[in-house]
Amino acid sequence: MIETINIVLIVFIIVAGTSALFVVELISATFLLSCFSFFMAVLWAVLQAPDVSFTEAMVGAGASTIFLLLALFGSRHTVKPFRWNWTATAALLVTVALGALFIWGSWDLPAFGSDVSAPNAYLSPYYLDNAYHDTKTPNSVTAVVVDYRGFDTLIEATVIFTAGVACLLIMKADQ
Amino acid sequence: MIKAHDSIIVQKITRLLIAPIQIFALYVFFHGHYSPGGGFQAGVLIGAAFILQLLVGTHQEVTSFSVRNEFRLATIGIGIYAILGALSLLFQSEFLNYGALSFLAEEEARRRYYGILIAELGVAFVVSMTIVVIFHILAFFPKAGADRP
Repeated sequence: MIETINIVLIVFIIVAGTSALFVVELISATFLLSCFSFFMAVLWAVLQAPDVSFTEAMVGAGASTIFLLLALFGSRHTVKPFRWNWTATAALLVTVALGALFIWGSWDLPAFGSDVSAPNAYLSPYYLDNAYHDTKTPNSVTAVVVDYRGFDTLIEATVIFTAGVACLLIMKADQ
Repeated sequence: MIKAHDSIIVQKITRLLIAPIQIFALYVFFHGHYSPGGGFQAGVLIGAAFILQLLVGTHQEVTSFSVRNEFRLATIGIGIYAILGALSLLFQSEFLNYGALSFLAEEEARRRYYGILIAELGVAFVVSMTIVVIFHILAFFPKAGADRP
């Protein structure tokens, strides 16, 4: 049953992602990307990662859609019909080659959910065993994100802050 | 420049939605230790509530927001997190080791519990206010969209 849901969701994700490339209107593409994020969120929930699912649903499907729409409304853009030429052929060849390289590389990765892969063998069990004892936090994701890996989260917050700074600087340059 | 929607139904319903979203954001924030959620998600929810307020607010309500103040609050958020990390240096421990902050609680695990809560508060400030700053700049500075066709 879960397998079927996974396959259906992955098909939806692929359809939404590829059709976002091919629709002519950019507003439609924005909403297709929003659909893409929403299906990703459902897929994360099916894969039992509710924290990631929550974030994807709000940031991917919500906030980024709003920003893309505002950017579209606030800017001048024209859409040219696509013409097949030698640049497009070269780009297609490079993309296919790169994709093939990634798929070839993925053969060496451990199987999905394998119990002998490095993170599953010792890292996750350590967090799951000790998170409650160390931090009195039943949700071990919060304990890992903010305590065990607090430095990561500090820098992530700085990255988001930098996005705001960049926006302010662009506005100042415009005035 | 974004203007409020013409329909009074849309405006009133949006106004009704703002308060529940904020309550839900607080729930997500304080239950980050027990259920999915935490500072980041709560921050995005608070940001969304502010964005809705900016979308349907009257002229007076909208002008009471200023990019300067929103940016200040974002800076305060990152300051909370970084100062919390630096405080544990003062208590002769590693950066961001909440277990050393003896003023928070008796037990070391409890100190980490409250340390996580304070750090999440900083993250919530940064995320919510950055989202509002970006929205404010994209939506309300008329020059950006002045010459669109």
